[in-house]
Amino acid sequence: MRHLFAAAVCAALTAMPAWAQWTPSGPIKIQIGFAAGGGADTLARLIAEDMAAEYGWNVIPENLAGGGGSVMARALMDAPADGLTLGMGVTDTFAYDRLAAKDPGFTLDDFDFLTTIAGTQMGVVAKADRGWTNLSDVIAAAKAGEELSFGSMTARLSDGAYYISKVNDVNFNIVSGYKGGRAVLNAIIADDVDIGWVAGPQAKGVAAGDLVNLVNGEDQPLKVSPDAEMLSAVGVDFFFGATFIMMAPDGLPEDARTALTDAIATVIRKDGTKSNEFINRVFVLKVKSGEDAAAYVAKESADSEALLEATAN
Amino acid sequence: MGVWDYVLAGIAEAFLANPALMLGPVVISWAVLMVISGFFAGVIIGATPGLSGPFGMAMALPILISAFGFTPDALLPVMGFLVGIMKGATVGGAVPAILFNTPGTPDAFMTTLDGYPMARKGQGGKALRVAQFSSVSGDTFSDLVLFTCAPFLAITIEKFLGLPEKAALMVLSLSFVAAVVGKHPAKGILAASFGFVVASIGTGTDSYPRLTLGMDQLASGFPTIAVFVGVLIVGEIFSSLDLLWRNGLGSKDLPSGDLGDKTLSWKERRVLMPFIGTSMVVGTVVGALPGIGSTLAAALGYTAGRKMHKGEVPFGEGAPEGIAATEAANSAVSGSNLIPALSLGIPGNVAAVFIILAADTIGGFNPGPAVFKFSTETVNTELVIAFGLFTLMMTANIVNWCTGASFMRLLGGLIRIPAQILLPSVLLLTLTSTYVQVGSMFGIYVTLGFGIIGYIMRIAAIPILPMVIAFILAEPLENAVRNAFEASGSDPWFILQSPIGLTFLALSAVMLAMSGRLQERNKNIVSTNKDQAP
Repeated sequence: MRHLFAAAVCAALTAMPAWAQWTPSGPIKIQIGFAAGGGADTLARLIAEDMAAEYGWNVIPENLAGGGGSVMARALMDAPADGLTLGMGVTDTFAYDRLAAKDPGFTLDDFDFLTTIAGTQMGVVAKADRGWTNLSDVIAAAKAGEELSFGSMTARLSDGAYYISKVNDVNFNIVSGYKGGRAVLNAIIADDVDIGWVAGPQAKGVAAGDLVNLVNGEDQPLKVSPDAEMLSAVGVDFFFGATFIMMAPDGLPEDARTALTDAIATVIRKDGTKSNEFINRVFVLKVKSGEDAAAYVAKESADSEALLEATAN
Repeated sequence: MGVWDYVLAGIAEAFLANPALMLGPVVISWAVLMVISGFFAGVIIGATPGLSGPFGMAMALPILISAFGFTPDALLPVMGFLVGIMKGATVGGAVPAILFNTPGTPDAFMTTLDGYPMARKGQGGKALRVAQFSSVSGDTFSDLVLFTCAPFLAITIEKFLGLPEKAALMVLSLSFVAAVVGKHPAKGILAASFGFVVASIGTGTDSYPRLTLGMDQLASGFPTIAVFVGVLIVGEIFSSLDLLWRNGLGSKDLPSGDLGDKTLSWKERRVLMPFIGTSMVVGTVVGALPGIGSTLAAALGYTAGRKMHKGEVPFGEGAPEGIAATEAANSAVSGSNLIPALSLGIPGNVAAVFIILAADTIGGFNPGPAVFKFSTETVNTELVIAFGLFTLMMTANIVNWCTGASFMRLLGGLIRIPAQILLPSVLLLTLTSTYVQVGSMFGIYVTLGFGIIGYIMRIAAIPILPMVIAFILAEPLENAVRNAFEASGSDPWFILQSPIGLTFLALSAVMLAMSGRLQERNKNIVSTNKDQAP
């Protein structure tokens, strides 16, 4: 035990200089790839606030919305790689959206991915009074001839809905024009669509028994319905969750990269920080730092490529 | 618990829980304190050219959450402050519209048509008083409808309106533009088409944004606030500066410092009542329908008032009835707009989005059908909160009834500022508030660009309102049609599938057919620049 403790202290001491050495030479700007006011924006702003409180750095959040995060990505890649400009976005921008775009204007090599932050709670949702308990029930209903509409808020999720129908040899009328999971949820509640992708706002309704998560769209169990059917049960090997990620322009010096990654990972993990509390309330903590962050984006890219191939006519 | 027990519990929750101040036996709760301060903050926000209620709410929400935290005790103070801002900004919005001819929001645009001529005749004080009286009447009526109908109305409406019916409803709303095109239908159609073009930039569902010419700044479209502020306020400032320059500083054709008679007698109120009554019903109905909004309500209220009006001063030349018809309609939207927000969790407008966001973030209150379950065995705490919120809304209305008039008088003092000082100050304030909201210089360039467009439209006597309404309705219309089409399994006749949809379409046709007659009888109402045409 004493050895373990000593080893831990040693490790801590040797690890410390790495981040203690680097301090920002000016204010750190976090470019947020989302419009002001939503959950992702709030998350980024709380992280900035926590970093300022924890490390005494001056962190300035700035919204650069548009093009599903690609506007932020293009602005960030041109910024100097000095640790004073960071970007907060979602993995979709760098995986599916990048591959589906005609000319995204950036590649994965243009960025140093620091750490993933949080994941969504993506599921296919329906009202409980429809009587379905899982997606297999819905597919059975569609096979029996019921005409069903499927709400979606991104091109990737529309492809996902199409892929589900294709693999199971049924037809859904995919309604793709919704802006955000909450809009899809509203449409489900108003009976405008029968089922739809929702990335988290369904939790309260599911807990109250008014809504049901028919299938889990994530690669880990959903907090509110851990026993929800997995996509593999309906023959789908893809996942559709989105992961928030913090990145910097490519070529960040090693000490700055370590210090920033540690700072972000520390504040979002630490009990009682504003960002930690917010993540636990709205999303789910998902921290993969350094090499693991880049590997996560690369894996999602490969999956997206496979999805695009599988849904191409 | 019975219905009355819930109402009483709600009132107690608003007034007694979470006390902030104790003045002897009098307890003032945080909730009441916040709703009152929200109201006054809202009046000032609304009265500042370029600032709007939703912006004030967006700015306040993170600060409020940070101050009150995530406990259930935070719900009423936070939502109370937001509701206060919403109500205050509705009243305050009339101030710059009447005094300076610069409407802070598109809703207040119709207020300028009679308000500004009144101010120029030295009746600015009375105009403000009329605006406040009509606004608070419309608001209070709409709230009463909310309190009584929230449990069932939205659910009934949603039952009848599927996606195809919603698309047809949007077509119907758009056809109302025909009623406001002014005396030259061709110019009106030109303005509306321009609104559509501007709205289509950067929107759509393709991953490659539409019509941006590769400019990243346009990827999420022109910032809405910059477009409105540019066309409505900056365009007006340019045109006033032009007028000032032509006429010379001495002989300026702008309001005198005198506010004139600032009171509103009972007799005058009686004359206004039919207009207020009609408009508040129009506003409440529009507010309860999904996705139409207060600008159209104001336009419809004004049009209805214009048809009813038989007084000496015609609409558009300084008739108090015109202000009453507009303000009662746009204020009556706010209460009924919360009907779908509270009973289904679906926001009817931007302001309601922030109330839902606050409830979502804090927790303990989930707007949705469960809120209005009058459970007798267990206490439905959400229903208590809902009645607490209603109590706070009524508190804000009472504050508005009691103090709104004096607040208006106070702000009316602004009219004494000479135009050569006022116009540049308003311009600076407008550009600053746009910059704060958009967050980059791009917002300023867009505002100035649309200011020039607004100025040219005024010179060419092209009506502004059709452009503004088309710009507002374009995106919901496109989304509704697209979603309905997709949900129907790509059926080209999707919109003709139900009797309700057909009825809406038939009404649109009637509206278009009648607009010719409307225009003939009431010429030249909406064209804004007739007062300033050189």
